[in-house]
This record gives sequence, structure tokens and C-alpha cells, in this order.
Amino acid sequence: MELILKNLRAFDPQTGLDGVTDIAVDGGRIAQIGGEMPPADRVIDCTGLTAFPGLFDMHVHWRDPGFTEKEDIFTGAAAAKAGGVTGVLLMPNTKPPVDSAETVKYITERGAQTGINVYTSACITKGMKSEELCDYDELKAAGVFCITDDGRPVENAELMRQALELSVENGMCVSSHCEDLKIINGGIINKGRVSEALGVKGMDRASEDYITAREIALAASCGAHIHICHVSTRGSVNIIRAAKAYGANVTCETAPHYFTYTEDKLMSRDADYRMSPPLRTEDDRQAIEEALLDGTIDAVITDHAPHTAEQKADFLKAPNGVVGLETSLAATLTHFYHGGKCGLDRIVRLMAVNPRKILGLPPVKIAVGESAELCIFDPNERWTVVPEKLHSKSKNTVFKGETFTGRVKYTVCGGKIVFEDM
Amino acid sequence: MKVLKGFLRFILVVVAIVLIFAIVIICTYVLGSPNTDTGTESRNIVSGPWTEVVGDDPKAELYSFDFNQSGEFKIAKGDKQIADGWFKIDEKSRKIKLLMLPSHYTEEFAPYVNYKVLSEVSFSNLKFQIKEAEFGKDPEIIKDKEPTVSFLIREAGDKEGSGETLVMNCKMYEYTLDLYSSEHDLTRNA
Ligand SMILES: [Zn+2]
Ligand SMILES: [Zn+2]
Repeated sequence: MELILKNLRAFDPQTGLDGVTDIAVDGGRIAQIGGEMPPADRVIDCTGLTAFPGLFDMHVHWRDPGFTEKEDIFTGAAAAKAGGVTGVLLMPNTKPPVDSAETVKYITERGAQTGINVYTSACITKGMKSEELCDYDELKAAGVFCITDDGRPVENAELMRQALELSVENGMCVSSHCEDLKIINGGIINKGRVSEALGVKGMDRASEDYITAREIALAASCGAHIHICHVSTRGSVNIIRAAKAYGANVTCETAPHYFTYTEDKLMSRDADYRMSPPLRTEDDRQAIEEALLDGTIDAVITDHAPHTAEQKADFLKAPNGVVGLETSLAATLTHFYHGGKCGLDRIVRLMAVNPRKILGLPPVKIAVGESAELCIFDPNERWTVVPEKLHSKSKNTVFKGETFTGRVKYTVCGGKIVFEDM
Repeated sequence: MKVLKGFLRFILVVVAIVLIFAIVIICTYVLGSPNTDTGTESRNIVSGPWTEVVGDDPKAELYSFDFNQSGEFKIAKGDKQIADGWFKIDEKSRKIKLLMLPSHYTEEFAPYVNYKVLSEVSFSNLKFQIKEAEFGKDPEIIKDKEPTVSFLIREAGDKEGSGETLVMNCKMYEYTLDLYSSEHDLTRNA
């Protein structure tokens, strides 16, 4: 055996597994769970630690190619591994944008060298310009299974409808960054009390709710599936909940900052709290929390969006986005599990099971014969987020100085330990 | 009474005519303003500073043209700016349509302006090259081979070319253009 993990609480609702046991890993697969363990090259005592199937983050920006001063595929992967993430779906707003097989090839070739599963989405429209659809046959042949113009909506609704219509045939997942740019109109934070207090232009919540409703209507009109990115408002939650109740084929995601913080953080005039969509009101925060607990929101993602300290220096001019891969599990465990709001079961589904299901990827399970992909964490370790210690090239985290309970100790992917907390 | 009625009718007609003029002028400006979302590619072809090249006379006041990526232009003679405003390119007919406010051109340029606001420039010989960008780096349009272009501006109201036509053979000295300037930065919102 290559590796034995001893006294580990293995937790996988997909197989009904929950108990302290030993796991033997060999040849990249889980060779044995429990029973008499054979000798191994390495034995790790995992007393007090819990193992989930490796997490999957379906909304990540690694900036490579083109913006590697912010992040590249290898530093991005290092951040993912430190967060217990063994699979990611990258967003296509790189330079050049991912609208050709050539760019897909560049990313997947590098991704294959990281030790975790790196997939990239591609653009819905060429150059993300909302003018012309990409060649989906070419992209599909290159291995693409999800398309999005994340960072902006497809402004032309008819083009979006056509992409959705084609997705019924080509089986691609279409996901949407729901923000109407005309309503946003140069706003930089949520429109309301705080934007007024600071005297800065606000982003009206209607910008998100309106496109969310549009996408659901467009998808329904052609029987397609639509995935709504980073939900942040009560309005969007209500629309999605109602649509699901009526049988619409819609899934959605949110990020830890939306259930942890509100626009009050912006009173500091610190651009590290600026992202798109922005931190909203307490009422919105509560709506996100409720929607995660009642199953309206299907996945927790990070929208890991690195920007350099220089780019984030000016509150008014800084680009939107925050990093999150290394704090996602900790933030979710702290808020929901330790906050007594839900058990580990829901968290595994939100962070490991559902994202793969939405994208049509094979499930990752803790079972004999399955690929060994594990997120091993200490659910009770308290730690404070120090931006300088993050593996990501950029340090723009909203969670700076926050103390969390729950810390990733080992990440296993393809049977190898790809991260070890030292 | 009749006189008053007639006078009122006259006033109404005048008001109607004034209104129609106002609408036409407003429409000209609204429809003529460059669309910043589309047409950037054709703007990239002409954008940059073009300087006239003629003979050996060092004292000659040369024309220069400057078209930018957001659809604004300037025309100068020597050091003096003689016109500025918005432009639109019709690549097929190789024409650039100029739209100016009457206060934005001088007497010197006035003969080439139609209906007080419109002028048209034809172009030919326009060549440029797109530098193959290193993968993932900024792709650029590079006009470093000193491309030449001929700009023709015809006197307004003259259909058959009997009036004066300005012919300017211009060169663009080394100039590069970043297609991914901050306004095109796709990471601004994600
Ligand atoms: Zn987005
Ligand atoms: Zn994003």
C-alpha cells in the first residue's frame, strides 16, 4: 500500500459512510476501508480529523492566460489544494478569453500538471462581446462542457436564448453572471444605505433579479437547463425558489461572503470588500442562508477572483472580486456547522456532490475502488486568516483577520497527498 | 377676427417648422454619435495619428488626422486644429463620415461641411498589420511599417467633383495599439 490514513472519520452521504475507520490508498484508488490494514509506505494518524470527498469549486478565476500577475494555473491550484478542493471549473474571462480550442488546450495541458482536476468553461459569445456565439462544436471537441460569459451577462437576450437552445442538443451546461449593465450603470457597491453614506454610485439589486428572471424564462422557453452564478439577493432567491417549485430546470450557487457579511463591511472604504455582485443587506444575507438550508441554492462556490494589491489600492477604481479557495470550507463550517444551522451532510452536498452533478461530471465517492480524492480537515481547529499566508498570488480576501473553526489538514487527489498543512 | 385667425395659423406653421428642424438636428446627433460597444475593430484600423507627406517644402503647413478608438477625430493644419467631432467608418465604401458641431470647425474647413454638420472622407491605400501576439500576451495592431493612406475630402454640395477636393497622402509613423486597454478588461467584474 502507498498510503494509510488511520483513525479518520470518513463522511460521505452518497455511500452512507460515517464512522471512524482506516483508509488504505494504492494505485490512485481507495483500496480498503476498515479491517486489518496491510503495511504501507506512509501511515498518517488522522485522529480527530474528518474526510469528505474532495471538494469541487465550480466557479473560479485563475487569470491564466493573460493576467498572470494576479494568479496563474499553478498558484491557483496551490490555493485550491490548501482549501481541500480537488476539482475546479475555471471561468473564461482570460486574455485571450476562452473562446477557441487553442486556449482550452493551453489551460487543460497546464491544468493536467497541477495534481488536481482542472476544467475550464468557455465563453458563450466570442470575446465575451455579446455579438456572436462561439463555435460550440469546436469547444466541445476540445473538452468543454460548460459555457458562460462570467464577468458580464450576455446582453443580447436572443443570443442567450440561442445558446440555451443549442445546449439542449450539445448537452453543455450554460451558466450566467446575472447583472444588467444598464441598471448597474457604473455602480461599485450595493445601492442603499451604505452607498448613500459613502456618496458612491450603487448597484441596484434589480440588476441581478431582472437577469435571473430573464435567464429562467429563456431557458424554460426552449427546455434548457440554466445555472445561475453567485446569487446574492432575496429577490433572486425568491425567483429561483418559485421557478424550481414550478419544475423549471434551474440550479444556482452562492459564495461564503454572501452568507457571512453585509454591505456594512464597505464602510471601511476597503476595495477588498468589493466584488460583483456586491455584499448586500442583512435581509439578503438571511435569504441566502435560508436558501442554502432549504435546497434552493445547490452549491457553494468561491468566485475566487484574484487582483493584485496595487489594483485593489484605490477604493473607487479597483476591479471587483475576492479570493476564496483557501477559506471556503472554513467559512462554511464556521457559519453553518458550528453555528448549529446544519450538519456536515448538507455541507458535503453543497461543496462536493452537487457541483459535479450540475456539471454532469462523475461523482467522487469514499468507497473501495473509487479514485482517492479526499478533503481531510480538523473540524475543531481554530485559526485566523492572515492574507500573507495564503497560497494564492493575490491576497484580496474579505476574510482577513477573521477567525474560523475548521481547517484543511490534508488534500488527497489521484491517490497522492497534494497538500499537507505544516 | 379673421386677421387674428390667420396670424395664429401662421405662428403655428412657424412653430411646426422650427420643431421639425429641431427634431432633424437632434436625430442627426443622436444617430450619428459613435456606438462605443460595436465597431471597435474598424475604428482600430484607422485609429492613430496620420501626418501628411508632401514634397520638400519645409514650411508647408501639413494636414494631420487623428482618429481614436472611442470614435472621436481631430483634423489639424500645421499646428492649428481645424475640425473635431465624431466619426463613423463604412469599410465597404471606404468612407469615414464626420459629424461636427458648427462651433467645432473653422472657416477653413467650412467649405467641406454639408448641412453645417456633416463631412465625408474617402480613404484608400490603407494598410496595417496585426502583430501575432505571444500566446496570452496583449495582441496588438502595429502600424510600424509606416503605412500610407490617402484621404480625400470633397467640397460640400459638389457631386461631380468640379469643386475643390483636398487630397492628402498621409503616413503613420510608429504607433501601437492595445486591443485590451482597461475598457476591455474582462476581469473588472469577476
Ligand atoms: Zn460572475
Ligand atoms: Zn466569477
